[in-house]
Amino acid sequence: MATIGMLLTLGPYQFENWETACNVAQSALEKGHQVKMFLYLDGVYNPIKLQTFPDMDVVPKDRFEDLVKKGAQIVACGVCVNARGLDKGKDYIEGPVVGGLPDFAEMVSEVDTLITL
Amino acid sequence: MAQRTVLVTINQAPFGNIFYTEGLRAAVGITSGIDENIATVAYLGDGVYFTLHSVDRKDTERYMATLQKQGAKMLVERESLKERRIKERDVATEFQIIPRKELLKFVQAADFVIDF
Repeated sequence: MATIGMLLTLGPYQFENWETACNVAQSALEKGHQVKMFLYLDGVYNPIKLQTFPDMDVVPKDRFEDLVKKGAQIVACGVCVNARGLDKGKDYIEGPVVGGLPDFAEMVSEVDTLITL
Repeated sequence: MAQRTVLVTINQAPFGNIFYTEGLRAAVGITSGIDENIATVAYLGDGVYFTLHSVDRKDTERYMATLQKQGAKMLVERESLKERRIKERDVATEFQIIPRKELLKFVQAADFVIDF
């Protein structure tokens, strides 16, 4: 089984990148692959647990929560998190950790393939 | 864990968004792990505007200096310059201009390509 790395640089709602990332990650996890995701730039907004949207049963953070439950490892760039006032990710869903680019470097060393979204 | 070769392509102009500087920060970051991954940076499309003599690169100086210290190649695609009617003599000396054909070899040789 392969380990799939993902670099997500865009936030929820405005672009579809987060959804593509979740769809790819979900399919990979369901096929037994490992998924490691690094959230960079506005990508760090994706796992905020306070997200709501009228008439939307599943909001982006729910998809990320599901990925975590299925075993995905998610790391958010700490500089990006703090630059956006997210206070060390205190409002994140359970699972994603706040790290740094050395974590991304480690991910690059470990994964079999890397997808940038 | 293994040392990886990563090609970071910067395709966006050095104005209007932050990808030109965050792409470089990521390139530095990639090299920061214990495996000392190797990063090469390539400017294509509107990204080539970053490489001009007259562009203010103060906010990326540290990243550029770190990458240069590590011997990272900073490439500019010749065809992207030509398409934008930019003269090669207007490109700063720290960047190496190469044709698309040669850039493709870097793409093929890299373990991963990350685009900004």
